[in-house]
Amino acid sequence: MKENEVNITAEQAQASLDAVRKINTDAVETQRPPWWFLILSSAAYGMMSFSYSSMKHENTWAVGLIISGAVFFLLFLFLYYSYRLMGIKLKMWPTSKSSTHIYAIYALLFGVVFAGARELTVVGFDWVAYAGGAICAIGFFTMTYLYPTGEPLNTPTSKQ
Amino acid sequence: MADETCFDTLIHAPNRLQICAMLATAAEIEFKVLRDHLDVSDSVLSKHIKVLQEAGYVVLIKRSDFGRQRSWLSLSSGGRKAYTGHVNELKRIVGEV
Repeated sequence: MKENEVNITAEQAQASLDAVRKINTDAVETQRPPWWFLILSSAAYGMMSFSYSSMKHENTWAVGLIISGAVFFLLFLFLYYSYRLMGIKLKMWPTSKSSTHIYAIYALLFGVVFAGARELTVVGFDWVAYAGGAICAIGFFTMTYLYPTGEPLNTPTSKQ
Repeated sequence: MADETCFDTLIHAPNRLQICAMLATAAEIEFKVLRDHLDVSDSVLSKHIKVLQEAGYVVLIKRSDFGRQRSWLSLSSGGRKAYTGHVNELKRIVGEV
């Protein structure tokens, strides 16, 4: 049996890690938003991207952007408030290196798709607005479903 | 940059490790939610929270919501660092890193 300088065996360390992982799994399941929220917020987010890409002087997609943005914001406000009533204050900002990575992927994915879809639609590729909206909606749904706590499951790491 | 690893005997106690693991997933968690998740009594949880508070790892804030007093717990930045360092050390021991 392997021992280290603090007299803890690898088996004991593994048991402790398993306990941490069980708690993390419980937390993810507790903090995972309900299906209706995931569907509505993803649809609103996809609609935001589509509306932004489709905005032109002669159409009213700016209204679509405002409405979908408001719906998205209100949904998150509702989620935050309802979780708070249940006794959990959700994290708004990354607090570890691993969660910083996840937030960076969010920012990169959605920033690039948002801006890229808009630029390509403006120069005439109309189908990109639909593709951008779909990518944003599916990406947002997947990320929110997999990482509701903003932390990758089972891999707590430190932030320096 | 390598992750910091440091075995923390204070955090290593099973209940305290679970408290830190739970608190690390949210900004703040109410006392009774934590108690229900860990399936321990009020007194047991209070005892462990007190130890973690005295070490500066956990912050306890009492707020009144809708006329009801609620105790909210969160990991301090030092507590978060100690917890992640401890978990990283456990991973190092089992050879995951």
